[in-house]
Amino acid sequence: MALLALLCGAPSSPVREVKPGRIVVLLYPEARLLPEILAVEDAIRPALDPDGAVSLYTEYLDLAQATDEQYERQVIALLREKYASRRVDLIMPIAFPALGFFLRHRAELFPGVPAVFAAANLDAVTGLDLGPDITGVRLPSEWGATLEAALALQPEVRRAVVISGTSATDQNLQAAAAHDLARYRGQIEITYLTGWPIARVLDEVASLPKNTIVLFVSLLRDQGGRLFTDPEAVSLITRASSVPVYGWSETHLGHGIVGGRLASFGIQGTRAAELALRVLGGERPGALPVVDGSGTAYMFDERQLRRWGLRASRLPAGSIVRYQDASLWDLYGWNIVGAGALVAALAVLSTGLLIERAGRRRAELSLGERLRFETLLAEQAAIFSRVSGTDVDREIERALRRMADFLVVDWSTLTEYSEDNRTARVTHWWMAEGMEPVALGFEEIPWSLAQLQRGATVRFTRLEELPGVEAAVDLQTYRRLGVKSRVAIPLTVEGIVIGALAFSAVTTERAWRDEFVQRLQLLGEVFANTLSRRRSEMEGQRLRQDLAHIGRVSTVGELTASLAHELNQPLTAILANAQAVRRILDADTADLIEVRAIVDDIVDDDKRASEVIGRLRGFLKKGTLERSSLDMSELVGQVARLVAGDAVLRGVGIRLELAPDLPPVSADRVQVQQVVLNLILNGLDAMRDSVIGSRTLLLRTARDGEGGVAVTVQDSGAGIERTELGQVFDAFYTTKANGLGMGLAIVKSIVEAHGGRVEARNNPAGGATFSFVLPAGQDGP
Amino acid sequence: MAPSGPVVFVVDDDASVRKSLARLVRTAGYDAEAFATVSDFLDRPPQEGPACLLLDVRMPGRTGLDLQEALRAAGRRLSIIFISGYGDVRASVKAMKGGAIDFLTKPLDEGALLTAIAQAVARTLEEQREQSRVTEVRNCITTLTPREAEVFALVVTGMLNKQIGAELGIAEKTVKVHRARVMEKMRAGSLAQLVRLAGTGGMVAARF
Repeated sequence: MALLALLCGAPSSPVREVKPGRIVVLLYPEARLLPEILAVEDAIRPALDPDGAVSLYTEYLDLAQATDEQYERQVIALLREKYASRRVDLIMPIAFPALGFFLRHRAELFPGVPAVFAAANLDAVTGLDLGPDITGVRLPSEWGATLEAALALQPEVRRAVVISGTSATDQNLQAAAAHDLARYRGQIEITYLTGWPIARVLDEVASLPKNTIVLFVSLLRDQGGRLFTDPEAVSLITRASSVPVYGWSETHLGHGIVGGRLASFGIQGTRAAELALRVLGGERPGALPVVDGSGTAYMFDERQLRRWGLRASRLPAGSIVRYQDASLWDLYGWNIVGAGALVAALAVLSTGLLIERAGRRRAELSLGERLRFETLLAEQAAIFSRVSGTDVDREIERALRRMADFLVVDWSTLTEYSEDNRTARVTHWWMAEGMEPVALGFEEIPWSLAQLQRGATVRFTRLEELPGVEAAVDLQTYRRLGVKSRVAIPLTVEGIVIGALAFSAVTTERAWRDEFVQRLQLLGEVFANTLSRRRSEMEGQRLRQDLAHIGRVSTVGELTASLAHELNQPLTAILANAQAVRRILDADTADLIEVRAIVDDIVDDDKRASEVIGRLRGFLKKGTLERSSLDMSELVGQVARLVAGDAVLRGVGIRLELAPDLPPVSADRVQVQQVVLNLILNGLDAMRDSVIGSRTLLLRTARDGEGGVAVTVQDSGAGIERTELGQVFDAFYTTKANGLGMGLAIVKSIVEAHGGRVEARNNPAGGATFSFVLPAGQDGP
Repeated sequence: MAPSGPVVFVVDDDASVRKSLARLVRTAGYDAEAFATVSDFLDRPPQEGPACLLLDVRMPGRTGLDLQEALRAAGRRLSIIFISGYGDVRASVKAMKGGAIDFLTKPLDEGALLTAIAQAVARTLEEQREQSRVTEVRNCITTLTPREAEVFALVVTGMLNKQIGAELGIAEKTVKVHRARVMEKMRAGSLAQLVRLAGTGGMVAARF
């Protein structure tokens, strides 16, 4: 009620406060984090939600090329389900296909929820009824302006080839371009390469005649279903093309297009965020006019102008020419470029200045790199979220190679530290040709490793940045290896450093900016999660092996089984021999020599059987104990971990109440482990018939009243029959169908051999508690 | 080859068990041969004539179950009695599914053991006879000409000579000639016997 009142009665004051807890849903048409989408979201997110008060949900609709009824029904069902219990305050459809989807299903999905759209190109959309409570920012087509600029640069051009793909977004933009270009039909010939496979597109553009230009619209998906980002498609096409290529988005610039009148998605996002804030502040969207024609500028790539011999003097007035500084290019590679354009557009358009300011450039670059980098990271995160165990190594190596490419470094390594943090092992690497991976462990880079193990990132552009005294050994190592610059990110899982992700530059010095390092840390998290996932898989395996080992050596079942086997052999032989003797004696002519030989064998086998029993006694005898000083809490915790998997399988929750600072107990570790293991297994077995959900095993360690240490194992099973309480520790007493009745007997023998005592009782609330007490004491017999 | 008395092969890694079981089996009138390992047994040439295997389940190296599998893979007909130190349900199920005569636990009950041995020897003999019958029929089949084989395959389905002639595009008279030769070569006295022979030799299944 209060919310409703607020919504209806909020004053339309210019200073709008967005109440916390608002829910805004961003609808994206594609299924991927495209650079354009990132640019929009980068602008919207901080503007709408500077302090995390607004919940931004994003939905990637993955709309097909044509309206697919069935698919849309599924998406709708999904969205309804997801938002059934959430009160959505604002919908933000991004790009026309998402807007179209929203309008088609608005009444059903989000009735009465206001909407602000962005980056929607409506130029070629007919019969559109936006309806009430909606406003937004239109993405203008500026193909006319681009074509005119191209004709000014290349007056000889008579033909334009327009390239677009098959996704919903591709088709929308293609229709808008066609709409825009229709009026030039008499002036030049226009050919549409719409929905071709990429290979054919590349073939086609490779042999275009001189008087032709290529207009790149959008190619998120080709005919064969291959997916691209626009910058990727632009790169492919401009590389293949025999003629200049023009584009329409600042995300295309730097990937080989000459330029054009380019739109900024960042500005689209900023404008949409402004509208969204007003709507969230209580204004009615219907009262806010749709923003049109915002955020485009003439932008060109100096290198492309040079490549095609086009004269900058013919550029339209107010054009922004990027990439005039070749050294920057050489230093940072092409990655920086697309985003450089974006920031330039933002800077220029929002301030109205056409002059670049030196101070801006730094920010431009970082934002540019960031954009590209974030795409890369998003891809990596997606890859690693679904990578299967067997592909982890390959994907990590591929990621390292891509990161090294991106960062322009010579090595990238993923190092895992041993559990004691003393040794480092390079598990994955990428190396520039001719280099060998080097494990940098505690010996080689003690200072760096100490930093990493504290969770700190180690980065330096020049070796001189390292503290000369503390990091003397590190410096020596880096010099020996020729490392000039390096950044190493600790990989942490639940606060524990398990390894490091490091990038080293050998050929040139490399600067590491903060935002860069922050994002590398994100990648580090992705790797750490992947590795820890795998580690826990391996850990589980190792624990199981440990358990199996202990099992072989000493678990009750196996112990008794092997004893039974050892006893059985002589018993079998004795019986068979005796039976043979009887048969011989039954025969008319008994061969007494043979009988004597058989009886000798019987005696030998009987001796052998006695020896087996003697060994069983010896196993449990005091004299054979290998005592050491034990922390019972630690020991119980260890054994509990061993059986954790087993407990999960049996639907039993194990609870630990382990007392710290217990006095040490002098006992044989393996035998006491055996005792605890037997009691736990006994408890697990006791709960076999209990209701799942009520199966709890409580393991507790405590000081005993008489100075010893008590271990109790409390189950929630059926408990022990009163009449049987006194017998449970007797050998061969068992309530289990296939039990041998040795488990608790062995517990008793071992505990008593250690001078302790055992006890079994029923709990008032059901189940039984088994406990044993061992006297405290230091090493020694 | 001169037929010998039934042989009981004892395979057990435990020397006294091996020795005592062989001894007991001998007192019951069988020949006995004892082996310490599966490989030792497999190294011995296959026994022709009545025999059976008294086989320990658990042995170091190849186990009794491995030997059972190896014999089956080699097509050797030798009935097996498994002996085991303790009731291993999984192993016993596997052994019995693999065609074992019995699964006995140590120490062995004399009566149960000797009954099982008698059964096993009889089964081995039966299987060996069956095997040689099949071999014989197959050998006969190989003497047929392709046309005769065709006629054989159709005759045993119950077709009349006329139908067979139509099926193969030959005169009824010719069918008759082929049919007589088939009966002769297969050493069959009647159609019923021929059909049985075809079943034994896997002829019907192979043709249709």
